[in-house]
Amino acid sequence: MIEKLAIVWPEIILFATTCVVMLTGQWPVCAVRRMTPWLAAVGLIAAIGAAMASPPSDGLYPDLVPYAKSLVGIMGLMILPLLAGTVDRELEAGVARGERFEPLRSNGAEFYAFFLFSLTGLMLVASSDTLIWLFLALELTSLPTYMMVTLSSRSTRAHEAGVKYFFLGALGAAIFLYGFTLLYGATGSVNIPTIAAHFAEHGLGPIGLAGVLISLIGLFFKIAAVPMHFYTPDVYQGAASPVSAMLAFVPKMAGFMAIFMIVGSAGWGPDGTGLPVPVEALLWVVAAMTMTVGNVLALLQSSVKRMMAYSSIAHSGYMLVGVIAGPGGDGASFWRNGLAAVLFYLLCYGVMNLGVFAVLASLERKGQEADDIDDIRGLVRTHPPLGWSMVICCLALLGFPPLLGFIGKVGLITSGITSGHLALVIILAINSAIAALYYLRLVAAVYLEPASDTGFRPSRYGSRQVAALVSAGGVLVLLLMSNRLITAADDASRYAPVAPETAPYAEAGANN
Amino acid sequence: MPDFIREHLTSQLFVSLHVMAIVIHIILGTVTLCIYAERKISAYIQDRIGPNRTGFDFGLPFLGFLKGFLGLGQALADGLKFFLKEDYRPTNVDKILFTLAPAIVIIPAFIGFMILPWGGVWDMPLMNLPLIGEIGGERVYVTGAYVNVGVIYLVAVASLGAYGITLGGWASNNKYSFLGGLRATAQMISYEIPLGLALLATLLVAGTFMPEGIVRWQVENGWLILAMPLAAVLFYVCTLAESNRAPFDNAEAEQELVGGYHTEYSSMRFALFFLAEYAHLVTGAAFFALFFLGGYHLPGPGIGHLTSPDTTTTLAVIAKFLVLFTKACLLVLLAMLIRWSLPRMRYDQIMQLGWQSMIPMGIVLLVVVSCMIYLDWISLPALLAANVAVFGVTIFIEPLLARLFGRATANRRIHLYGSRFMPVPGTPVITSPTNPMAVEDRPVQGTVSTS
Amino acid sequence: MTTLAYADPSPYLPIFFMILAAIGFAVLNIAGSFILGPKRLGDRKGETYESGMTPIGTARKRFNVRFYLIAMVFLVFDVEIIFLYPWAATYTLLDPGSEQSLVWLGRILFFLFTTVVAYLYGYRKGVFKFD
Repeated sequence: MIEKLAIVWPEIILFATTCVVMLTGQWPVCAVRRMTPWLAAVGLIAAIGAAMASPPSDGLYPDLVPYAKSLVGIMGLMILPLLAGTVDRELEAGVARGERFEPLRSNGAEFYAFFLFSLTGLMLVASSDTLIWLFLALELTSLPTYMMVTLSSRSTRAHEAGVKYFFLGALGAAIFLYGFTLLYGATGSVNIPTIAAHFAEHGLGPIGLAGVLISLIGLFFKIAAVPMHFYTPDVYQGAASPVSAMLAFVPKMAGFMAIFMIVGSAGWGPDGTGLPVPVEALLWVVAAMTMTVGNVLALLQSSVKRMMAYSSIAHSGYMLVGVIAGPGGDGASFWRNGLAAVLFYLLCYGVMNLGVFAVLASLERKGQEADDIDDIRGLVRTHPPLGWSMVICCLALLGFPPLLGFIGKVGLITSGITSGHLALVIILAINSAIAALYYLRLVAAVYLEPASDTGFRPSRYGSRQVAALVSAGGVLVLLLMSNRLITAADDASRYAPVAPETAPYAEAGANN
Repeated sequence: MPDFIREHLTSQLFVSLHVMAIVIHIILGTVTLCIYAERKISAYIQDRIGPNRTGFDFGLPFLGFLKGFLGLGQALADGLKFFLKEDYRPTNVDKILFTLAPAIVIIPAFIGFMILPWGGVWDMPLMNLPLIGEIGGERVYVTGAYVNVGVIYLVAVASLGAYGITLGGWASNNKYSFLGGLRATAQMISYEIPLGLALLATLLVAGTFMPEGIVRWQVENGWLILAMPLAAVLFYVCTLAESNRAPFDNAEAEQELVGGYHTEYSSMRFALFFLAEYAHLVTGAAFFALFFLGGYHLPGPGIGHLTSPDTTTTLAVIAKFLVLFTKACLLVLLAMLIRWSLPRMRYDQIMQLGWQSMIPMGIVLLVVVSCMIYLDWISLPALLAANVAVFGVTIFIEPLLARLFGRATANRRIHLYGSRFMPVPGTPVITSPTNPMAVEDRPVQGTVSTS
Repeated sequence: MTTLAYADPSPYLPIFFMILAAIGFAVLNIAGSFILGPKRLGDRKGETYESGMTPIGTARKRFNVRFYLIAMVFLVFDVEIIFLYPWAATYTLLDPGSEQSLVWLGRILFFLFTTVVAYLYGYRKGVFKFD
């Protein structure tokens, strides 16, 4: 019991911060309310510190915890400045004019608290070693995001997006929960390493196979893979840009870590090519379709947010290639290790994507954020820092050779080739070419076209521009650090399907 | 007697059924006498005489010597009257629920006191009864039901009463009833929380959930009201609120809601609501006596030994029953004195007391007590000091909390909009009657013709 | 302690009988007054009682949202108490001062901490203000 606490210290710290934030966010004193994001930042930094020192977990990926949790914490820190001014704008303006602060009308406390709750859930996903824990952690990750979508804007579109997201999310949760119950039914255990050991020994069997497939289909909702991707554009467009930036990273990361665990329990076999055929077929088809559908539909969009939503679908497809490739056998290098490539790509994608949304969030016209591609024409001339951030992030997302996205994509491609999925890799390459069309369209709009006065001005919340610059700078800095990050991702993806010696719940029962 | 019944009829069940039958009659009798007592007490407090004429003569000349009799026949007369009044059901009520609600109310009132240890443990002599045959010869609990969940049963049953009241209020299809039902439900569920917290703190000290164990602890260490006075106060106030008694009788506040949830009820259906309320009161008082006043034990030379949990003779059982019953009756009288002494609280004050005052106290008390148990500081003086300290600290903290988290604004004076104290913006304020109508509208002095 | 007699089928049997008795009591009383009481029906008499005024609309109306809020907050606290009782049943069995006892105390203090945060949040949002 106490030993297990050592793994979840980051979550405990974040949870305590959340509790504090929930109260300070609606404190009567204005200065205390202003402090709320700073408190959240302090909590996140402390959580990152605790995550770095975290011992290996009992799960299928013992060393995933430090990497994943630090990544979550760092991404949280990068998204945090972007959230400024998303809620409570009118209320705080009224308070500045001398009106009374009414806690019932304020949403600041909930907004930041939900943000931290979501990150807490995401960290818990990384350290989960049982299906129950995994399910609760996934729910803790997603439930706050539904609320954040609704709270983020006063428009009916945001409310529609929130409700849509909630219902589809509940559907996805129901599906993977059903899959989890089948896994439990097939193996008689909720402990993921035990399930993996059971499958390794006895094979999947029909019920186990159904469990894995159904769980995966439910989890595809979280990563916005093709049969479950319909909500993505509406939700991204309906929510305010800061929240869309968060949605592009948080549920995706949770979904991929959960997919790692579910696919990992089915096992890639000793040389990394032995994924059960139906599971591999499902992942293969979904990956190919996700890439293609995402990229082709992104071509048709004129709204940047919808375009980024479809591109996020496409990126999920790329990363699924890494999942199919698997860990690549014992002691495989990064270039053969698909899981490491996915983990590294998640980091790259999070940073690059955040940059685009941060630029959109930084431009405002009468309180409305930039959305259409016309809104950002000639941005390099009118607002050079924002424009260049956009250019760098778009090129990185495209996978332009020296930039960050390129390294990530190369990792996915080489692991795909070494595990023998040449056809899939070719589809990936073709899709990258399609993606170039719309990313370059964005770059051209920002860089080549003449400036026209669209009425958009930089937001008076300067921290949003800071977030844009930080993510653009992050793309460049991470590029320089990529060697170390690749090693870290490679270490984190160590796949160790060893069943615990005693059943954990029997032990806990004896304890009590 | 069929064999399968005989097989299951153990001595415990035999005694339980008898206790059940006896106690339910005594409680129902107490409830009717309670109504009489209530009227007498209110009369004395208001300097009246109260019921003093109704005797037991039933209008018959040869029973004339039973006439008067302090008005004790009033209880019987009231009961009979309930039967003989018209059982009226308005046309637009929900017909099934309207009838069902009083029945649902009466069930928790009946089963509430089942786990009270009326007589402790009894060495049942071996008896040879007709029909049943040999029974007894072992130790049994003289209680309605000896359930192994102990007093958690009370917490489970206490909240059931809210259902019937809500249903009754809703089924009546009357705005007064509806509001009364809502108020009653909100109030009952609100006061359940401090009740549960105070009870839990007490049980942690006693270290057991079984009624017998609680009494034993009190025999060995002194009454729990001395150790946990704050918990006792919280518990007593909550039992008053749970049974919708004054000063918490907002659900039937006559000035605002006519009769509250039973506005549309008449005759026996109304009586069941009435009965349930008093039964809840008696049950609450009996449980208070059990938890805080030593249960069936009474200290003192002789009686102390007779009513101790270790004495198991038949005489001891009867003595214990009388002791517990007397304690409960005294507490019921206390509730009546409270009712006729304190004014009714306003509804927002009730909710404020429950949520902003009693619940924090309950939580702090629980935390302090559980920490003290960890440190093994559960002597009576230490607990008493802790209770006093918790009370003092929370009384000190609550205004601070209210300042930080939003003070109630109900006690601010709000002037009537449009009056001269709060005029409509842009209108001149008139403070003297300039309108001639105001003068002419007065009643005409002198003769008023009635045609 | 000496062994005590124990109701064989279940100790809850008397409670079951008592519920039957309560139902019987209610049925008898309601039926009794229904039979014994007079019957005088009428249009005006059947109307909803509103202090003599002609009723306007029905009582099936929307009511104040505060009651919903109270119900939701009550759920939080009631579930809290439901957790606390089994905890207390175990906690009182442990040796005071032992490590296990400390673990149990820590658990419930953490649990109460979360409840208190929820309480303060509700307090600040004005859930408990009924004026």
